[in-house]
Amino acid sequence: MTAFGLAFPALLITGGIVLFADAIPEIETIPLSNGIRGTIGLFWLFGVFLIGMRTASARTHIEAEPLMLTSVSARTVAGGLVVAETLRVLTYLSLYTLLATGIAVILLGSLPSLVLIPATAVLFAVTAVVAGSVCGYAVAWLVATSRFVARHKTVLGGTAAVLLMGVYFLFLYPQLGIVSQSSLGWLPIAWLTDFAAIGSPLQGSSIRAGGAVLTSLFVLIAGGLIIERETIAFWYTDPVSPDSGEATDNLDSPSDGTESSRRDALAASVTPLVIPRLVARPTRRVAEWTLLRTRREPNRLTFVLTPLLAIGGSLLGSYADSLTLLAAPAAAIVLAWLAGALFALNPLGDEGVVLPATLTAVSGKQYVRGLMTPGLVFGFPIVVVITAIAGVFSPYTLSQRIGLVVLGGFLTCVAVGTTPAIGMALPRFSAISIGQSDDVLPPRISATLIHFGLIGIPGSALVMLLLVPEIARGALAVLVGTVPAFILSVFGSSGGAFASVASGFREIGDMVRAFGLIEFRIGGIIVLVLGGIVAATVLYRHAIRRFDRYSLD
Amino acid sequence: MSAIDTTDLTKRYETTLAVDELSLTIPEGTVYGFLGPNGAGKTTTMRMLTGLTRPTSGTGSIADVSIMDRDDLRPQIGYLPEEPPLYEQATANEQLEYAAGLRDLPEESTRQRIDELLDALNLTADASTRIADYSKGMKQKTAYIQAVLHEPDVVFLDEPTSGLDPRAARTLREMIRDLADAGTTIFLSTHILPVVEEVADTVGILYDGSLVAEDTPEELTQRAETSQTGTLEDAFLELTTDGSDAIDSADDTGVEVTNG
Repeated sequence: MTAFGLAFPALLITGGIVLFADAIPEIETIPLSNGIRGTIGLFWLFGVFLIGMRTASARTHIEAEPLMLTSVSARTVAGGLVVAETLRVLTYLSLYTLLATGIAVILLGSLPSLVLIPATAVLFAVTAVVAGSVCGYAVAWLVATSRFVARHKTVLGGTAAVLLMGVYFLFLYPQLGIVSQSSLGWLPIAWLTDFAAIGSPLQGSSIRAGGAVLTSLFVLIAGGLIIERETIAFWYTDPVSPDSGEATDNLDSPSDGTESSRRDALAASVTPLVIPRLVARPTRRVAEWTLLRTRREPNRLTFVLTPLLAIGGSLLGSYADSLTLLAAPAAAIVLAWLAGALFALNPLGDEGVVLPATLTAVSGKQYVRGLMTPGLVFGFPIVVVITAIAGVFSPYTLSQRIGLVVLGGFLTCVAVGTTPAIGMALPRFSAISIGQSDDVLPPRISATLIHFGLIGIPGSALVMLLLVPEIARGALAVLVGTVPAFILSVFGSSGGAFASVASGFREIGDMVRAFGLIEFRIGGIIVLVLGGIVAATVLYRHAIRRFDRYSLD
Repeated sequence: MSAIDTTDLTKRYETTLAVDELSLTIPEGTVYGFLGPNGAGKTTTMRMLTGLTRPTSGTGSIADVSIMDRDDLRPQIGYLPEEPPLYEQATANEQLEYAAGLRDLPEESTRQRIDELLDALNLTADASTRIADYSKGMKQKTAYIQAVLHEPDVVFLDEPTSGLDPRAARTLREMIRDLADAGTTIFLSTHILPVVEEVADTVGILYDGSLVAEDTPEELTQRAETSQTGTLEDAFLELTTDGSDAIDSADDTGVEVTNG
């Protein structure tokens, strides 16, 4: 998939070049703009961000660490890792480097490009790797030495990632009107564009080209020295235990002076989140345990959130002008789905080796309710509040805004109620390796897709019924009438049984179009809401039965 | 009343017969040493007795509760599997509070009991450290506490002394004996035969899914025709050796071995 993702755009570009091969050599001198420089600068910063994330989260431990650190110096090990990472980045860049060099040399007749473009790619990759490693090792060292950072690393890391991605999107989509890629034209590393352009029709600045090379050398030397110091400090440090201080604190300074608050380590481990005491104890403990797992192994969430951020980011770019129109419906559907998916989409797999102890200790009803509790206690209010805030800025009427808020709450309940059964039916027990990140146990893709479909499709239909019922009616008529009629008419173009069935479907479509708008809207909402209630109830009971009858065969 | 009672308990995985018509009657307050070579069916038996695996045929009960009735079985049993059922990212305190909470045990008295057990097994100082940082022995001790925390009628222990240092192993043996003296029935599976010799009242030997011998450790030792050192090990080796192994063994030792 990775290879396809890399090769496909390159093929498209190659196709375009072949089409315009005659016109390209006639290109005259084009001045190199800050927009082009800024784009390269933005890619470089994004590369630094990704490598920093990889270094901090997945590459904190060296392979065969005791052997390596007792055989060679930390400088050698760190240098080796930087070289390996650079080669990895260059593998991704190689196809495009080859393409750019080919265009410059063959089509534009720029002989210096034969050396300068590959050299630029190397400088781009190695500086991004060094800068990313500096940031990544700094984060890893902080986590290893600061109890506060270690304890709140999920929240801090998540917040930082969201902020940085937000900044990235601000630059990526200038139509938002805040900043643009041209703003990054001042970044010396972005001047590598000028260095690569020497000899080509792109007219850059030779001073900037020299500045880019000097900046690259500075990044390599200074970064290399910093990495050496960081890795020595990090690899030879005994990491702090994020919990020991907390336990001591709890023992020393009870919040309300009672014995129970002083010693409740499990409840303390999920603070500031609190599961209300009125929830039955076994259910509360399962809920706290679910939150504890989510907090201490956030890697699982990355693989649920990454596609969401990617899709959300591209939609944001495409429909930035319609942001106020789409935000509230999107919050009502997507956040509701997340409220379920984040906590219980692989409950049996998440239990891991603890599963025998859990099965012999708690009933299915209490266990499933415990899995649902975080989504209801924390997810429900968040979905309702965010949908309401997005609704305030939307152009919808008051009743439509209220309808969206109610819909968000309803979908959250359905999402939370359906998740455990889907997760139990499609569990993942074996950890998988994704990139350099080992032992990640995310939900199965099939479970994620089914759950998203179960919430997203009816949820979208409800949103349409609420906001644009006439479009919903038309879409349903096309779906159940026009489309099957068209397909059947293709097979039965000369008449016969196919043609008569196609005619029947056409009539069904016409019947749907003939529904009164108010009746269609109310009827559709009732059917979908009842369907959601039935699905959530049936799947909730199914999850309980499955847990109670689960056998370790 | 029998603490553990099974009749013709059988488990078959497609073509493989894991446990074959196992019938046991184990009285209350005894330590039952359950021995057998790797793959004999010990873990499958323990899983059936704890309700974690459904038998193919036969019946079984724990403290008069059917092993098919998991809801009623839960309060009666404690189970320590061979791999300690612990979440590595939790601390011992969090893990034990979770286990206690699942069983809805009263908080104050349970905390006191957790403290006592942690203290007895010398884990108090590490109770707030993540289990991922524990040695194998520390994990084993934490998992043992989790299994007996709710004071069940019957405790199933699979290799409980594995990975423990001699002092901790002795402490655990004494705790097992104390539990039995207080009326708890212990179903103890282990490869460390001296442990069984020391604590077990009765020993059952499982071989290829079948119970091939059941008696007191002393009687089993005396029955071993090849007894060289007068230990349970001799009896175990004799009873769990097939024909080809017996010839190899005889060749190695110069002693004639008869198949049990």
